[in-house]
Amino acid sequence: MSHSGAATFKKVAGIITIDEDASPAEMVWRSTAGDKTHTIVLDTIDKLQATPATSEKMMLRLIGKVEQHDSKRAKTDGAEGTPRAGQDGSSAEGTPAPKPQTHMFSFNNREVMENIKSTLQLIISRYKDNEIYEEKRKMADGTSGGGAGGPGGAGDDGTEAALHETGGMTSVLSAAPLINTAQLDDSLSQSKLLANLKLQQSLLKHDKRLMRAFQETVMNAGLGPAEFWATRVAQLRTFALATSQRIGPYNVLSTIKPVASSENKVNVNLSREKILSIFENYPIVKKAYDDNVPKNFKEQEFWARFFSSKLFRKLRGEKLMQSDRGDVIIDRYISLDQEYDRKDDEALLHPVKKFIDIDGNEEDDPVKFGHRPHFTMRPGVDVNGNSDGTIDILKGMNRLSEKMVTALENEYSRAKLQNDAQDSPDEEERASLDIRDLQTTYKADYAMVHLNNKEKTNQNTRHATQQEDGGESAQPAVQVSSEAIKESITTVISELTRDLDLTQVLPDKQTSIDVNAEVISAVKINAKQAKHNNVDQTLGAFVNSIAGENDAKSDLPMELVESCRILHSTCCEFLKHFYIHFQSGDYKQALKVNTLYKHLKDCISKLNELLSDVKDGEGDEIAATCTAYLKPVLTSITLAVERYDNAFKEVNREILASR
Amino acid sequence: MSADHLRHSVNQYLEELPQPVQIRLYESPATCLAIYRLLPQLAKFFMMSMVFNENFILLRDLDRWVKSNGKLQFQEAIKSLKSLHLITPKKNENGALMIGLNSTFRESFKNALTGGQVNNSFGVVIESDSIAMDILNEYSSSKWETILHFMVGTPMASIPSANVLNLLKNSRLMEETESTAEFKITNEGFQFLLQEANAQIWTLLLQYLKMAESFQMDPVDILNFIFMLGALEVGKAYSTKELSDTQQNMLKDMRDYGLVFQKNADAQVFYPTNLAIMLTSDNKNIHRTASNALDSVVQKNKEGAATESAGTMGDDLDDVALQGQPIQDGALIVETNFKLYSYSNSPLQIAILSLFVHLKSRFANMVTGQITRESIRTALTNGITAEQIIAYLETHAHPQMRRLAEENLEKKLELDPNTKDTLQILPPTVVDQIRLWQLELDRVICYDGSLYSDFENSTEFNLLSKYAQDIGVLLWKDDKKRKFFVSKEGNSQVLDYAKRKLNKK
Amino acid sequence: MDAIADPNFKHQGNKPGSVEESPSLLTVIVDITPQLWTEFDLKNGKKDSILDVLKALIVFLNAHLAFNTSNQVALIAAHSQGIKYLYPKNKADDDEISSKNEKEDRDLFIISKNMYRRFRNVDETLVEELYMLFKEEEQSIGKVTQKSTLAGGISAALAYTDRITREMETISLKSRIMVLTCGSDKGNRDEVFQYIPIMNCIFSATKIKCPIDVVKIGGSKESTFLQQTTDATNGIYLHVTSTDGLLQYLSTAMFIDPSLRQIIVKPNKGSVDFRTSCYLTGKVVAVGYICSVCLCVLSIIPPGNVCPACDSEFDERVIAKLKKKPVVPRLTKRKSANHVSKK
Repeated sequence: MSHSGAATFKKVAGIITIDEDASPAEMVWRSTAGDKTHTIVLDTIDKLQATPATSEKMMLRLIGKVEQHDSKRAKTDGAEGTPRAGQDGSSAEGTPAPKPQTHMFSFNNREVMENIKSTLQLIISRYKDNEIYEEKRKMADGTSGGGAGGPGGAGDDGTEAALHETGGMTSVLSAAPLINTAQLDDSLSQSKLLANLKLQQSLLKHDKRLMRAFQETVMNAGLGPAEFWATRVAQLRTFALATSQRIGPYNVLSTIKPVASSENKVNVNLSREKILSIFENYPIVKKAYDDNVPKNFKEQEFWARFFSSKLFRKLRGEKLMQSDRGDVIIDRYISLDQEYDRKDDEALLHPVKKFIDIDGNEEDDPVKFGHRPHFTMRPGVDVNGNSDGTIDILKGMNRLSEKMVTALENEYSRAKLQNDAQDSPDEEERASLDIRDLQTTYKADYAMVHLNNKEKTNQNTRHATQQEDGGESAQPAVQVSSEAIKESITTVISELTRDLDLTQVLPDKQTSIDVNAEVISAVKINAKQAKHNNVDQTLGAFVNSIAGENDAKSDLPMELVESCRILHSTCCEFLKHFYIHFQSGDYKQALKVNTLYKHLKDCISKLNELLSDVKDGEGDEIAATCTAYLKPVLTSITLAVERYDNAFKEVNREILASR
Repeated sequence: MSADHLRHSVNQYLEELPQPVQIRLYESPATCLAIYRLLPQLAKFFMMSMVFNENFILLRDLDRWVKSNGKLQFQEAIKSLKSLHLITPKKNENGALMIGLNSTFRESFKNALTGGQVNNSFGVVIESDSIAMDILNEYSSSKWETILHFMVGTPMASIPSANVLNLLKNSRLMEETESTAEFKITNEGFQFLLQEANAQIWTLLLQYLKMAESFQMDPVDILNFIFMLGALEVGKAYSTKELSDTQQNMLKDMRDYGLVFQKNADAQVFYPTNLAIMLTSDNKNIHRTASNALDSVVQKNKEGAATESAGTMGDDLDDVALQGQPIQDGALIVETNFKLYSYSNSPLQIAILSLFVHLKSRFANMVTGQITRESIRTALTNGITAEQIIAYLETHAHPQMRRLAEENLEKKLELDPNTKDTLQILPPTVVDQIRLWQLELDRVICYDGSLYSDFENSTEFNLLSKYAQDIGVLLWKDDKKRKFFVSKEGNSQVLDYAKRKLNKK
Repeated sequence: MDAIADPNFKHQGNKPGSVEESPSLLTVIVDITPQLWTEFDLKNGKKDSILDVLKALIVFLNAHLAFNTSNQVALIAAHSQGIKYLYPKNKADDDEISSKNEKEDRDLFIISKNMYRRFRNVDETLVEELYMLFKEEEQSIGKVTQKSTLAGGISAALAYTDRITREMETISLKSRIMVLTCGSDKGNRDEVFQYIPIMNCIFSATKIKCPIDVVKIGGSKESTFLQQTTDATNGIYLHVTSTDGLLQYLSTAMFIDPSLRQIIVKPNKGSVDFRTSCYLTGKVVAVGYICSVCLCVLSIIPPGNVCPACDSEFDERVIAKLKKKPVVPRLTKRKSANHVSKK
């Protein structure tokens, strides 16, 4: 792109130069003789007009702004970034009384003019966007506290707006994590988790169902919170880990997708976090920002320039083309960036072992002895030996990855904890350098499990089974004498030596009808089922095709189902705790078991209460359904109570007897 | 494809027979067995469930057996059963449709299964007589190959007998040029060459049947004889005494085709050959084309003779399970670059390949060639269709290719159990390209069928078009103009449906 | 390339939804243990049900052979002393036992002479082998019977199936297995001890995608493990009370070819009990102990702290934990008063 070119101004030949360094940018025309100059401050320019490519004439007209506010406002619609020359007349008409200042340049080279035009276009639209943004902000400030930033209208004016909106969120997320992430192993230990009230509270807030269970069991039914949480350590741990996750460094720029808008402009949406992480990941951007904002341009303008700069493309990992249009100021940092990169490289450098260090063996490099590798063997280099930047991109990407990895090392310090425990790093290193390709491959070793023939176990089981038989089988076992067996074998043998008439086996009419009816009836039932279930052929299991069909239909009113559900889960909660302590074998828990036992008894009465209430209030049919729902839990609780009673009697037999 | 085609053509012939003839056919258990095997899978299942059950059963009950994804097959099964008059419909007292098995068929089939009264339809074995397998095989292969070679136009000494020539002419596989009285292969002839051996035999036999009708021969006798041949055991001697006169006459013709062997024209016994067995066996079984079958048989016999174990050939069918399957002769490999390698030495095989492949070089045990646009176009102008070429390539694909394709499919299924992909034995590029070459020629495809238009409202239109689509006969539809086009075969079904549905309202 | 997307083009390609006509191998395992059948006879007041079963089975095999020309069958018998391949014949046995002549003699009059040869070849061999087998059984009356050999039979069938499908790869042979067993009380008890071998069979069967169908004649309606087998392998479980009309059962419910399984509704009845049995007591358990080495399931803590199936020693501490008595408050005199009063 060119920032200068020959142009005629007021019929005097001269050179136009665009000075983007100045803030605001200027366009200076100097006559060839050097005696005349004409300077236009570009942020005062409202419109740019050029003769169309078809026209013989090559002229460029810059129209200055009119100071009146409303006229400008009225014209915002028409003031497109790329006014067409064809609109010349019409747009001039639209301009009201105070005639704006116009500057006319004529060119003798179409290309030069196009170049100048596009540069100017870019600059002018940038200033315009700025203005629109400022204006919006003023309006917004006037009305509300600054929530709604209009739909990302121009340039990157989404930036600030997004900033306001996400502010609240960030504060939540970036608040101190609920656990100490630096010492992860320690903070995830059971005792720490159980002591971490803040964590528990926030989990309850997060999980409504858990909250309800907590309310029911702990707040209403008097289960100790410690009890409650003791069975949920895993849940706590997961939650702690999940909430303490932070976003590490990542390739931020690649996630920024400029969106082309209708008005031949490109919109970029940026949030505050994004900006921060850009600064974090790319110090060069931070430097550029610090250098230029607000000294040279406003934040708005900085980002606009940045996203159209070559630097942006380089950092994103795109190939830089000679023909790419960049940004004069920002692109200066490219060379500086290389400096940064070198520093980064040094910081990230892993000391390479002499043994495998290729650089260290440079004396042996065949290339040094005269032959350069063929260009096809040199990646990223074309026939003429010019680098196409691929290598740089790859390096840049690698650098980024390395940074990510190193950044993680300080977080979640599990690795470090483990490393300390392990043997010396030397050991590890040596192991990694071992050449093992000639070693025999590891053979999978299977442990032989010798399954006993049942003979051995039969002795002790025969007894058991016989006992059982006596109790269970109502039919008397038929004793088969060996004579009977012999007889049947002989008949079979004699049958087998005679003519075997297979037609005999054909079932008689009635039997086959019955059989058929029986089979069909089974098919009938299964056919109905098959309609409801999609059988997954590979899994051989039923797969529910529609996610929403998880909930079975119920005839019960919603509230009743809900209360059944709550009661059920409460009962289960108590049962769980009861058994944990009941089976713990620790006599210190005895009192706790006793309390839980009482809770269980309460549960039984609550269940019965609910059932009788339903029966009275809703009628038999619903009561039956309700009973069916709660029957299993009632049985389990009764069983638990029974077991407790038995054990209690067992242990205290003497005392009870003595009474 | 061509197995289906064969099935289809035989079935079609049987379906077109008048009902009394069909019923008479069902008197022979052997014929019943053969017809049973020609039915669609689902129909076979239904039949079996009804064979031992003398009662009528509800059609609805049969329908219950089938899951919703198999309704198409259900339609197909019932349709084929109906058109062969294997089932007889009846209404029960509630007006529900009941069906029962044709009683003649039931009795015969039951007897076939249990070895009851079979009326010698499976032939009468003469135990005292037997014949060496290699004589049989040599005989059948020489006869059959003579026919095929003659068709391809290989210069050779022997020419098939006059009635074979007559048959070829009548079936329009070959035509006699008037000027030179020489035989020239026709488009149908080319197609014929690409078919599987049993399809080829059937094509000839069906033609034979048509010719026989004009000689006032009883088709029932002929068919019974053909189906019986298929049910015999190779290597056994069978008596000719039990045969009807028609069948006795047929023997001579069958001899000319190489289906049976007789020591002399007046012999009282005949011996079925491998070709005869192929009549009722699936193409997938054992051998794929006649020349392969014969070549491999000859080869086997040579080996057999060497090891003096030719005697074991007798129960070939049953023993096949215990031997590894030898790689068939003529197995071919197609590469994505359209190169083709065929492991074959038989001139017949090579001649057939050269119909659509540009053959380049020949080695001791294989030929290589290239599938080119020109070679395919030549084949297409000869009347061979792309589908036939593809089917041929597919059935002759080397086991290696098949295995590779199966592995690929399995992998895909693991990733996505619902994948609609089917087994792709040939490289898809080649298949697509062959089809494209065909499309170049026929840009217009003609279908016979019926156009439905002028619907009163869109519900009617949707009802019918959806039905047509569901049963797979819809060829084209335009929702806006409310018109759709249905293939000829499906028209009656759609019409029935339309009558049922639309009259109700 | 647009041409390929053309509907007409596709239409030529393949007709929608046709069932693939592929041949299949049917392997039947029949439990012929004479003791079981005699018991069954006594209970039902019948005679020689086994003969009815065998005849029905032969016709059923014929029917399978009729289904497709390339279909194959195999029959394995589980008898009191082990298993035996009835068809195809074990060639090694053949040479030892019968001289050719004898066979030829018997060959021709047992099965109707005019039967379709392919049926007849199979059926003759079967009858021949069955005859041999029952002769052997006659010798071994009174000997200790092996615990039902059914699981062994299934393993043999799976091995055979695998081999044949590999050999017949080119014709893509499908396979299924049918188990025909007699359910007596004793059989039920024995079955319990076959849990592990049957489980192994299930895994193998699912791996080679071979459905296992089960017909149980007599005995109780349920058969936990065999039902589990059918359920896991996409097979069909059928309980039959008598041998009457067995053929009709076989030709309907048991006649579903593997290629048809996709579209046919299975005539299974009732629900499957997925519980397993205790290795020691044979009780069916819902909650129990499990050996971490061999996965053997126990309903009690085994004596000697050793797994009864694989002899692995269990960890003392774990056992101690399992044996812990339940915790209940111990009453002291004074406290007991409290306790009671609270109540």
